[in-house]
Amino acid sequence: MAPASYVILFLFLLTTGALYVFALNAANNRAMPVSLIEIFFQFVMFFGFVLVFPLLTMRLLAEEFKMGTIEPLMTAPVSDWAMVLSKYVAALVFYIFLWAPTALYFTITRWVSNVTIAESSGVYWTAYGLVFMMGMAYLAVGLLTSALTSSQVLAAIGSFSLVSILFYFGLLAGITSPQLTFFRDLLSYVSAAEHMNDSLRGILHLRAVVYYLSVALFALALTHRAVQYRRWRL
Amino acid sequence: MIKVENLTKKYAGVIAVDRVSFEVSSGEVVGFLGPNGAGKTSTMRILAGFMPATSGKVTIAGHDVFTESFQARRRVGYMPENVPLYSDMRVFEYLRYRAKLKGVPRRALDERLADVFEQCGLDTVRNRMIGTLSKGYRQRVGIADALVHAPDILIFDEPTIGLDPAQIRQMRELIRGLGKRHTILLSTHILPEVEATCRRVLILSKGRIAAAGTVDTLVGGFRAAGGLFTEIAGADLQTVEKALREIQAVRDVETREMDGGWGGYTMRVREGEDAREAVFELVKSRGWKLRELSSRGISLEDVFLDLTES
Ligand SMILES: Nc1ncnc2c1ncn2[C@@H]1O[C@H](COP(=O)(O)OP(=O)(O)O)[C@@H](O)[C@H]1O
Ligand SMILES: [Mg+2]
Repeated sequence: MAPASYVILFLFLLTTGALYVFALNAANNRAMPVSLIEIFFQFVMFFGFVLVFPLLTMRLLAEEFKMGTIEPLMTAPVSDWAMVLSKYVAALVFYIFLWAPTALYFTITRWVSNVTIAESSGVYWTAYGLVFMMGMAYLAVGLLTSALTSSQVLAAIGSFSLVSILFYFGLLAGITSPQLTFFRDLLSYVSAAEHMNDSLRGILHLRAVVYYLSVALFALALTHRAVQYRRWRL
Repeated sequence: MIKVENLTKKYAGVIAVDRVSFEVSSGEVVGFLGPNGAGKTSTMRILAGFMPATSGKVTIAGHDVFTESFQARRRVGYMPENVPLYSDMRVFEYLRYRAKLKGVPRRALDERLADVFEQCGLDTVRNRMIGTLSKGYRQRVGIADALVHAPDILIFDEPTIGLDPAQIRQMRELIRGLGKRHTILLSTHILPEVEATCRRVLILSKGRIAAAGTVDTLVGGFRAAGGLFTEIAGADLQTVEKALREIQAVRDVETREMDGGWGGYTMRVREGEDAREAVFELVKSRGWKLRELSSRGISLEDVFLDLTES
């Protein structure tokens, strides 16, 4: 694991740990019965969540092009698809590795306190399922921006912007005129906030899954295209 | 094993490789010689499947490097110029990763790695961070990487660049050893390099093949254009050098100051001509003193300079 990965892991655990403590406090003090998992994920999603993706993906290809290590990589008998997918899977595995400890927070809390953690155990699955689906989509977008430049900074700016747009775009649904039904529906279909609210009630719509998978596949196909172009000029 | 036909590479209008054709047969060790910017790296990158040619055809063991890139790459162990490596990985970790990447089967992995570690003398730096290695060891990691999937063709771009004389010697030994069992194409802009390691030489100049053949035939073909060495006293160095340059058969003079007013002059002589008599006549007519006048056998360096300068 690269030294930078330890830094990311440390920052991630620090942030989610702090947010968890805040969430615990909030859950204890609230008059309304809101579950802990709900508060925690609301906090996380709107506090630095989109930053995770540039951090995890900016190095992946941009750094290889910059340092020239792309040359031994591309002259190994490995197809461009295999190269793109292995980078992607590596990022996804690290992403899961980042989130795994947060599940532990909940487990420990259940042992030592009687706060309402979740309405039902299904919420764990839908909440973490959604986090995973978002990871699949946004990491693919991050990988794409990393394939387009040799500068980590540009890759990070690019993926931060794209992921932010995808993530916050759905919020426009709230300010769209009710007459534009189709547009409103479309926005809610792709709205990360809506997906999250659903998932925290134990619902993970098939259309949300399809949406995130489509984004992932599309971004991966474009990444492959970009790599092919940079390499073969086709 | 390697077949290159009319290979051309253009970068945004600049022609780096210009209709180059050559062949390397199985078991040969061929040196790719040329000054900086001659197009060696461009050619090798195309051979290794890193980038496409603008036009022309390259086949490696019968596989087209463009349309059958994957099969061609399996047969080639390539060490890029300046050996780009991941500096935050350990040597063993890196080579194991590369072996897996290149499809070495899991059960053969340990044996294969032990082999290349031993062959390249890497055992002492097995657990070192690549970023902390000396240039010589980096170069060896590059060679080990090229060897790790046991390819039969090796392509090394400037394997001795940046090494100290002792390391250069070790690298030559290593390459000579590899030459017994592999087909090798290596590039260099340093002459003694090819003379020491290669049987056949391709001289590349401004993107074109200027000459090709064994070291002996290349030098033999230029036998007529030899070198001449003389020691003269009686006038200052510049005057003598200027007078020597005026001799028709002399194309170049290199001057070295010696003790007691003597100067040593090394001349390159035009093809098919002899300047010895003219030098003697010059010394006699000016009333200078002469204590040595000898022909020098032509070296590959003369051939190289001759081909790449004009
Ligand atoms: N990526 C590139 N883009 C533009 N020009 C290049 C590139 N690589 C090499 N060149 C040019 O092509 C010519 C040949 O370069 P190169 O193949 O590196 O020669 P060598 O390895 O013999 O020094 C040089 O003039 C160089 O400036
Ligand atoms: Mg070069």
